[in-house]
Amino acid sequence: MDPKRGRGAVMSLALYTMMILALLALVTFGSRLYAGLTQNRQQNEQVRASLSTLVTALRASDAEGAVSRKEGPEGPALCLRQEDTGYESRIFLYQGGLYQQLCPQEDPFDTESAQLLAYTDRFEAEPEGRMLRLTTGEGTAWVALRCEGGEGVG
Amino acid sequence: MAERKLPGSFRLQLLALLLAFLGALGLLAQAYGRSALLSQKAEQLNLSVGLARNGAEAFAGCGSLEEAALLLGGQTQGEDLALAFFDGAGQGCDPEGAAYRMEMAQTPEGREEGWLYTCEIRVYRAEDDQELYALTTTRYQPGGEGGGL
Repeated sequence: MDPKRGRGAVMSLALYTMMILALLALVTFGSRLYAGLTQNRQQNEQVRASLSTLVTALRASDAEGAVSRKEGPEGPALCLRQEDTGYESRIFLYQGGLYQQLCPQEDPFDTESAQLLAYTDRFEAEPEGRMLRLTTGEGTAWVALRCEGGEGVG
Repeated sequence: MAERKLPGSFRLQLLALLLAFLGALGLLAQAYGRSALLSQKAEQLNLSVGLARNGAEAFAGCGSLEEAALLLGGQTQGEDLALAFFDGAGQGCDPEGAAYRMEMAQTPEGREEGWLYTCEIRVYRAEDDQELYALTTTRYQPGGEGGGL
């Protein structure tokens, strides 16, 4: 065998190996980065889905005596009453999810009919004067109750 | 002679392929880097919007800027400026080691029967003081003397 040809073949093989390894490294790096980006995006969506939905729901029901707390299936539940219909919207934690149930005020909690708002492992609604602190696994949001007589949460 | 030229031509082709490959790698790496940076910015913006919104709610719900600052774990500097510091998860913390800094600057404006407070809330990245998000909110406080701080 011609030694020059043999050396050339080895060089070509080494070059191809290097290119394939670089490609593999790039693909691995890219897939890891993509997984990270997706996780980040999901986390941002979780924050918006849980905290922003809570704040918006609370703001929409901000009327005198409309906001109260009850004991839910797994900790406190936030109840937003609709005085004109006799219904209330209950937001509570259940099996790793934040659920919303719309039902007559006297009905018991029914996790089957509730709708999932977001996945989270924590939910607290703590009143502090005219402010309400909403905490989920994704963070904390403060809400000022603007309604007349909104001196606290019932 | 033809047999001797072939390997050289092949090497040239390989070199061109290698350069094109390296160029493609560079472009992809750049795209990955940019997307990682954008993702980080989106996360910071998302958090800073939440912090600024909390600041606005505290300003609306509390009787004064000082109360709002205390509620958020911050403190006032003078009558019309409040500072609060937060860690990477958006929890209140000490200035040392904070990832975000929120400034709440209020401007009182006298009206006939009270005061109109305008508050500019700005959230900065602590490491380089870059502004991430800002909003302006107002609160009217009735009372002849303006119900100041």
